[in-house]
Amino acid sequence: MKPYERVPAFGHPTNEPRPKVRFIFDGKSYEGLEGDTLAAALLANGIGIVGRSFKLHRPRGIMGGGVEETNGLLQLESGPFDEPNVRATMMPLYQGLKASSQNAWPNAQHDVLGVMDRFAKLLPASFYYKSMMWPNWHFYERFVRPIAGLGKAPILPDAQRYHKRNVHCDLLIVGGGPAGLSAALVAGRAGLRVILADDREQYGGSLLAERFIINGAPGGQWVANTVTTLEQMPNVQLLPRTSVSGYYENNFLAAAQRVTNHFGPQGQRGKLRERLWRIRAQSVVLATGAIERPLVFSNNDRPGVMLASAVRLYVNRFGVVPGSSVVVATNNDEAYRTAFDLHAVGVKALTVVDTRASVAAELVRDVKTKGIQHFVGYGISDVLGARKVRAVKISRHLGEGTLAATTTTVKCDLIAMSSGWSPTIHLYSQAGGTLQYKEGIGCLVPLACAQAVRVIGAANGRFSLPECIEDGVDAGRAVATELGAKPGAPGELPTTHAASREAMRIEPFWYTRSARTDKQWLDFQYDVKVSDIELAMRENFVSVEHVKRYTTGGMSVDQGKSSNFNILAIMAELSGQPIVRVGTTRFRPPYQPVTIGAFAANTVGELYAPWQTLHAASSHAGSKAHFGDYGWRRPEYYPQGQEDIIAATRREVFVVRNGVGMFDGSPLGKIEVRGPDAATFLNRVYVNNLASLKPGFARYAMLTNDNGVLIDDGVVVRLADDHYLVHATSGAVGRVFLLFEEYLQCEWPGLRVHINNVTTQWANVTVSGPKARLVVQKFESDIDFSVGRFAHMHFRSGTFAGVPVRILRASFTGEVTYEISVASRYGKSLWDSIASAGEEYGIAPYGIEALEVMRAEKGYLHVGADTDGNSNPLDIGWAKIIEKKTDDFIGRRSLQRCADHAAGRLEFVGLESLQPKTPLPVGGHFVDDASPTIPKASAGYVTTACMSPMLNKAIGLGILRDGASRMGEVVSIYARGKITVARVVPTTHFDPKGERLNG
Amino acid sequence: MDKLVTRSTVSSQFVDANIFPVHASSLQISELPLGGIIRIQGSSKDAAFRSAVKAALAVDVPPPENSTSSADVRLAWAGPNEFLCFCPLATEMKYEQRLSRALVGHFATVTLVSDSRLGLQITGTQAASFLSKGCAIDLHAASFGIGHTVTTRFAGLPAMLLRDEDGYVIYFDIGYVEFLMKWVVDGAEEFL
Repeated sequence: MKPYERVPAFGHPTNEPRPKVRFIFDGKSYEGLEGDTLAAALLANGIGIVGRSFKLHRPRGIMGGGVEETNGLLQLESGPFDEPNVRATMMPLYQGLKASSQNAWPNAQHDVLGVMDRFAKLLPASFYYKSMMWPNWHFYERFVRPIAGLGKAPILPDAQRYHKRNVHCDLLIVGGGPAGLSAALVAGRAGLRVILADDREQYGGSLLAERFIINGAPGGQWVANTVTTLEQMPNVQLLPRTSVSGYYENNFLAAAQRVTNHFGPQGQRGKLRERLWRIRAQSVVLATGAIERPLVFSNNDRPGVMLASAVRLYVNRFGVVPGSSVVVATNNDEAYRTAFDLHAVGVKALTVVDTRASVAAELVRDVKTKGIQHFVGYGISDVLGARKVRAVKISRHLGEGTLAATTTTVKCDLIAMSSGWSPTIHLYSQAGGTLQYKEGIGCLVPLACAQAVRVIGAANGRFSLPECIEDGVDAGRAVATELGAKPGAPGELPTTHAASREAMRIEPFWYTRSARTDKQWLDFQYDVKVSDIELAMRENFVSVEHVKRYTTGGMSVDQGKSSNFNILAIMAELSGQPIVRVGTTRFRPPYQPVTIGAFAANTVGELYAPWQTLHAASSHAGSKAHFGDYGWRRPEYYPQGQEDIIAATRREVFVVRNGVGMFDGSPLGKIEVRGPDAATFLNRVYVNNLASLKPGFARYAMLTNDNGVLIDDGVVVRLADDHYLVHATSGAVGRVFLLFEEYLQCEWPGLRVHINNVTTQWANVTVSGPKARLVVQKFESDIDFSVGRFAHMHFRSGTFAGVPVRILRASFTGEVTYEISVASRYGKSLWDSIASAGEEYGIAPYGIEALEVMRAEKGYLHVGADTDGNSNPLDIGWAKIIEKKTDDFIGRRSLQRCADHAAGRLEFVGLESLQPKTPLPVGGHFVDDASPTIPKASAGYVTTACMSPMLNKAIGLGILRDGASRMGEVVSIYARGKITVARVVPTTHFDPKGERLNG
Repeated sequence: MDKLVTRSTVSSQFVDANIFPVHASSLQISELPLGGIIRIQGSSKDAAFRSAVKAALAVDVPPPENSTSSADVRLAWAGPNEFLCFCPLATEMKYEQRLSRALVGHFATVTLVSDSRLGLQITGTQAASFLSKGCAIDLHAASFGIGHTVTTRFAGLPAMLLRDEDGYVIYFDIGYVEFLMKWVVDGAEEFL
């Protein structure tokens, strides 16, 4: 591989040599120049084969210049910086860059699987649906997966940092070529808040690929001057290296900015790699340009076949001439510029092969004066050279894609092809825009869109430089006027050539009808050929969405940027329909690949999801708490010494049952309900009668949805006639609060009720056990705690330890319990004071595990654990309570349905293991026979189970079919291939009379 | 038995003193000490309700998405029938009682919520850029002037954001303090 000699880039001063940049490709060291893309550097070093095609492993060389590149997909860097499928045409070169070819072993030059090409006939589109069916796909999967795919997914976590930012603007301009720059200038001067985004390393768009003069100097100068002017406007934000990847509703767009990618791993240390901009724009201008189409002829996928515009880009922007004898193959005038530009930099062996019957006399003359060979009315019938182009065979084009039999051979090492241009309308389509086909320019252009968007320049089928500039200026003025700003006097347009100089005069040549269709490529990445389209349509997959999926054409990394339109046009030919009838496949974000890190931004690691923290967290940590994630981070148990979870939990249960324990119940949901209609409201919402509750009293209440299904439970306290304090479970309080608001705002706006979620306003310490009273009585308080003066399910407000307090005697342990709430500013102080006061009684903290064991011993329901999405209040034995209530409540009507009280429903029961030492399996299903084989019918399942410290046996709770009428019965439980046997018992295993509770 | 002790700020329990408060040249972020916050619910359309609130707090009732202030009271519009009153800690009971008394006979509710919120103050030239990482409100000076007050989502959490003469103030539920401190330190890093 001999490196090519560089020529001066157009407009770049020759006395300013670009510094050298070293890089490594497939283990070998090469040199490029600063400012190169990786593709330019590879081409400059004569590297013709950079990878292999997906299916047939045919050699692939760089084909394009930018976002349309299909072949130059490389694996970049490694380890925590590993990135697959990087497009070499979009990747700027940096010192020490390391890249390797993909989908080839040992390397792209010599790929063992290159032999697949010989079996091409066995591997047409969708071959796997016909051959990999018996016995089943998984039989073949193990062979296919290792060889499928292009790049390899990284193994280590991404070491790079990503963030997101929101931004608003009056005008977002997507595309920083001549059209976009012109629009930005006008809108910026009018004082609009403008964002100008461009996905390349520098502004200028396709102007940078041409030898165009603006205002008497190379176009790049005008670009540089314009950018400088824009940089000085405080109301204009420039976002280069930023790809607008998605256009959503209401002019909301997402853009991925490459902040430090161009510095490589070393240069990114400690910095942000990429930023995702979430942009809300009053108005959008899409100046997204157009992409050239490959010409479809035999073996058009060989290394050395490139897009004509890409060749111009490498020559004019990078000074890389990737060939010494060039054939330009075209159906339009534009591609001739490639021949002329190559001539301008000294390439001598030049040929133009033009499929059109005739071309303008002026053009013929121009070609002849430059000594360029000219074949008008000819097409390419084949390409010679499997690993690198060495010649083309051409024949007369007889019309409609049919070539004559006689061929002429032209030696060449580079083919620059063009089948016309396709405006880049992807974002426009994502926005909901519709398209129309323009016969004269042979492409789809925008038609109409409901969102506030304009499409200008080449993206709107106006391809010439003067038209682009004019469109930009007009759009800038129009948007400024629309948004009520003053566009200012129209200045002089920059001077450049006449639009007619860039007239296309295209005559469509969709494919070579007279050549084998299985050798004419459409999608170079996925090896989709014309024959595959024919096959799909023959098998009646005639919709464009079906053809796409059947052939996989347009489904690869490039998402069909260079193949979709050719496929459409051929479908239209084959089915005899106009192109608009065939339609396009749906365009979806992202327009270009966006790394997942940018979408995740900083929601990784600990910041993945928010959590809530207890006020006394440091005190719990000081007591060696083992925390669990419950939305709130809460102590599960407090292991002492070498205790494991079982030993610690057991000890904590004994401490509470035999003495006194303390628990942080701060997360328990607390909702204040106040107003003249508070009682009425709560009575409608809860299953119980809450209007009859007296101030100072508390009642355990159940909440159902309008389907009669239990959704939450909790103790409701009445403080006054018009003032209730509702407790909800810590996990449900947010939902319950919103539900209450929905009822008040949407269902019963006439009720005079205000609600407040005061869960975090109050911190709680729950003191529980036979000695609990002794501990609380040590504190100065205006509340009388003596026996008989403050009973279970009563509530007191007052002062405690010098501060206002609310104390509720409710219990989830089954022991005498005081739930003490103070303003959470005192939360930690309360915890520490109680710990200190309780020391003489051996007080110890208990966590969620111990609480769960104790509530299981008492048979207290845990909504969501002991109930499922079908459980209603009747299933848990509340029929009598509901009967007694005369007022309507949410869910009442549903409970009257037959199915809601039919026989066979799953009912809440207690369980004890027949073998006291054999634990009951939570989630185990009740089954009718004792054989451990499945499938079996399930009669419900075990919902709670533990080894009861107090009863020294295995107990549990569950929901069992007709459980309420099966007391004493022995039932079998199936879990993981084993049967456990249990007896159905009342749910309250311990202290059934509640003597301890009411102490 | 001694009286219970109150906290002033909470962030210091969860984040190291040399990374928070944030003291960069273009960005400063600190936690506001515990202050009085009173939630006032009533019908904004009711002129009598509005005058009662004004009389109790000696400050005008603000229009939607705005705050009004006096020497020691900031009154923020928090929703169609809801206001939040921010006052010095020492005055919280005084204003709570004044409001309750002034609203007797009205269907209105006054609730002390001082302990349930965490307030952060954000100042500096990059204050708006930092905030734009957590929420999508248009913070451009023309769209978000002094006194502008909105409820929104910040870092995925419900929040109230307002602009005062010095910069921005944002309130969250106190429960999220640890998560928020980590988010803030991570988000501020690029401005250091």
